[in-house]
Amino acid sequence: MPRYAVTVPVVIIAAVLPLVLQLIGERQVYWLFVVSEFFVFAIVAISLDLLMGRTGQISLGHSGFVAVGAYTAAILNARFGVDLLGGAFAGGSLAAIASLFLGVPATRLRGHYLGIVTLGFGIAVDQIALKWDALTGGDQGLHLHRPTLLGLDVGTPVLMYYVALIALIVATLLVWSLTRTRLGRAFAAVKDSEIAAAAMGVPVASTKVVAFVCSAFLAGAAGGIYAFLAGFVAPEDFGIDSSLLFFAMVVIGGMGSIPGAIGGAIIVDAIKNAAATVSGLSLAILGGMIVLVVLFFPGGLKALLRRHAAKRTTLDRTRNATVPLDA
Amino acid sequence: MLEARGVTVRFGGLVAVDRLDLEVPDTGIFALVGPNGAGKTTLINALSRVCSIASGSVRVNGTDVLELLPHQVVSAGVARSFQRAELFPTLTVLENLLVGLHSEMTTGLEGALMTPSTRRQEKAARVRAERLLRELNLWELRDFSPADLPYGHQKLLDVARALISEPKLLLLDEPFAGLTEAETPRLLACIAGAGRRCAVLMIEHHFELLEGIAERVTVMNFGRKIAEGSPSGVRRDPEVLRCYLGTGRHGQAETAAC
Repeated sequence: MPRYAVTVPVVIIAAVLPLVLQLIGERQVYWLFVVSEFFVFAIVAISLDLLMGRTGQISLGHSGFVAVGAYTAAILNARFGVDLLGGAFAGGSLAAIASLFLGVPATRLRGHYLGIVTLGFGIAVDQIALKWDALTGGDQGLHLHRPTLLGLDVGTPVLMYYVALIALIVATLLVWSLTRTRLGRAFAAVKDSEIAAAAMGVPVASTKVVAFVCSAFLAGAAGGIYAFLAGFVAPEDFGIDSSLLFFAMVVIGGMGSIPGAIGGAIIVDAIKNAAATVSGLSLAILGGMIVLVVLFFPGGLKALLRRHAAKRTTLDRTRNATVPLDA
Repeated sequence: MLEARGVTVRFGGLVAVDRLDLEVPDTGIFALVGPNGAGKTTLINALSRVCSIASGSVRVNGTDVLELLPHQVVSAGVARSFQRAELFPTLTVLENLLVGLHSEMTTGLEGALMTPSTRRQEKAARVRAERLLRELNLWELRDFSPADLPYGHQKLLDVARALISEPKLLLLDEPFAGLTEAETPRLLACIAGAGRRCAVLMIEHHFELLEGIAERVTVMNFGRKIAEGSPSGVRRDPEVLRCYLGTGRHGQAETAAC
């Protein structure tokens, strides 16, 4: 089945969703926000999947980069009136710089050091945002101005919905293209076999750093967009809880696949919203799901879908193949 | 082509390769044989900078390989395969070959934007990969993960991934190990072809295979070179017989080791 047979209908549904919500009319603003927020979270899931699924490096504090991006955008907007595009770009850039400081030492060490370093980073950023109130507004948070984009007012829920949707599509295309070119292949080579990657000319340590910086940039840019979407940033949005949500999205979706990451984001975000009334319930459910997925479906959602599709392709292949596999 | 002098590799107190000299001309197939633990793979690893050398010098085409980092060796014209076919299962068969062209290509982050130069490079690389895959009869399998391929095809792909960069020196670590009899000729033809274009240094135990193609065999034991010569010549060398091929009660070779 060609790829666009799935993506084109999905994009069309996403594009007409505000219209459908308009017709239904009930709690339209709430649902628009929920889906827009999902689009932004899906960008973070894609960024984390690029690092974990594609390059084999673990980040347990990805919401730290989202927080850096969101606060950068919020501060620049509140103080200097920077618009959404500038805020997202600046947020991504600052998150990328932060990741460079963490990644250069961490990726030179083997094993799970990056996971530990990012965990500490995620916890620290949250606390810095809380305590440095002269800059971040502390536990009061920071309010943003009505969002504008290249001089246009995008301050309505419907327009912000389309901004978030387009951002997700752009992020998907960027990561998809990257994985289909030299650098993206090097990421996978480093994950699969460092020794063979080096023999093919891939500088292992710096490739890991580049993957980490790319991932942090995307997460930070998503954070910048999130700040404009919510209109407000506060430390509790970026705690270790939300790092675990992003981690769950990638694991449940199945590592190393963009559709998997988006699917995982749908499942996790749905559980988060459905269980929002009881505090801690969503984390309990997701924790259980991570255990089940790792134990029984290590490939996650991706593998379940692929197993279904594989039956068909294997049949097609054997019919067309001119070389017997055992020749 | 390859000029290695006094190469010594130590792991703690163990001397894995001991003051070994090895010279290989521009083209042809040269074999390394020796019992397990003789230091053959360590020598290949040392020549490809996977493990570091305690003393000695290695020059390829005049370039001092020891000054290079592991990932720079391929640009100096040294490519290698692995004993256990270290392929990239995340990628497809075709993409595995494209990684072999990593150091020739330049696309970095701009790959995310699919710039015209990215597309040009990708297209040229894919043409080369397609040509090689068709030559090896692997083209039909291009979209599979190497993990789904039979072992013999994996070994073939491992050699192909080293070959695609058109190296001057090709290092192969037991390319035929684990292959079935049916799979051997295809790889043999591939390596013989490579031997006409560049220098091939391979670890191989089958003397039957070597007699057809290898110009020279270097026999190692305990990290040292104990014999060197034509495949049939070293096979009769008393030192080789004693420590490698094994002598029977009457001083004859019992078996060709396999």
